[in-house]
Amino acid sequence: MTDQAEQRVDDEVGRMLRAFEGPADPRPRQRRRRGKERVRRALLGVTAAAVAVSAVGVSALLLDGKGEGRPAAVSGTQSCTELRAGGRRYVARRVPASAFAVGVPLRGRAVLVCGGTRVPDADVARVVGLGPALALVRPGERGLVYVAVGRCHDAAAETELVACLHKERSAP
Amino acid sequence: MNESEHSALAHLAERAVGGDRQALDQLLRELRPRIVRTVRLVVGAGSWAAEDAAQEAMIDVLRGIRGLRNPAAVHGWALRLATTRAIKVARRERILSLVRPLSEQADLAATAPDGSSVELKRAFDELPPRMRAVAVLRLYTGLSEHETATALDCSVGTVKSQLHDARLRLAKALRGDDQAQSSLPPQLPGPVGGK
Repeated sequence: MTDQAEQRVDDEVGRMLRAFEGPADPRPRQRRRRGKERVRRALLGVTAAAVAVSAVGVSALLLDGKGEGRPAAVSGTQSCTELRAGGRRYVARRVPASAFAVGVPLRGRAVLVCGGTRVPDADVARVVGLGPALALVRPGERGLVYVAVGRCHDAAAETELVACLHKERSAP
Repeated sequence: MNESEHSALAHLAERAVGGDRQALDQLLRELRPRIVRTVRLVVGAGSWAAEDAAQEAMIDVLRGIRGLRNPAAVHGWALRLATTRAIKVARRERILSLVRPLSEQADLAATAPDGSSVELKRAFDELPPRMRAVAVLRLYTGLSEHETATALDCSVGTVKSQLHDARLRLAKALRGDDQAQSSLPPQLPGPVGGK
């Protein structure tokens, strides 16, 4: 193979690789669509309508002043230490922000405990590459994962925690 | 990667090894695009296995950073971890592809935005994983022969011979592309502006 031919192959391969390089972050797995799409969408619509109606109701209560004592939302600075979802208890742990990516949002009720206050219907999502039984995240809370009690939650250092989660995910 | 980028990474790595959390975050942010894309290309862009492997490679880097002995070599070290992970997953996927139904194999659409040769991509994905890694590190990441040999824990001679073999195989795919192009029927004349 001549130098010129080698250079041509190198250029073409380099171009092809750049074309297929993809995004800088690993892609989160999408939930596979199963069952009847129409039914799923209808249920989604009903749920969205119910959420909208209850949001209007809560707003009205708060404006009337009758909603005192009920948490309206979690402020960005409030520290939330615990999360309850799917019958499991999760403990908030700090991890390097780039360690895990936020995955698919989870439906269902999650209760957040922030400084002794319980906040119902918190938004939670899966962690890319980890099962929901192991850890969850809240979209927008960088560098924080909620680790299921009994599964790595007591790891001492951040790196130990990451290593433990990594090990647990591959455990049967 | 130029000298100043190398020294910036080395400085960050030094602080990260010493326990500086912010430096660790920044270092991972800097390394992530290189690691993720290198792993993706070695395993095979367009598969979930590649995406999972990219995430795992990031975790490998995070786990190993405290034990990094030479912060100045952080870039090569991270690429070494990434390619080790990628080759391992690529080998596993190669075996699994023999028994996996075809419908499950292309589970993530890989598209080349500029319409690059699909034939060349296919030929590249058929190369042995180690050969793919050599080609990615040399032709995409831009490592020297010596750096590639260090990243893959092999001799410079092995890098040269693997790249030579890869070029020969890929040149065939390119020739196929050229022949396919030349065997296309001549383009029909465009519409003539009529009245």
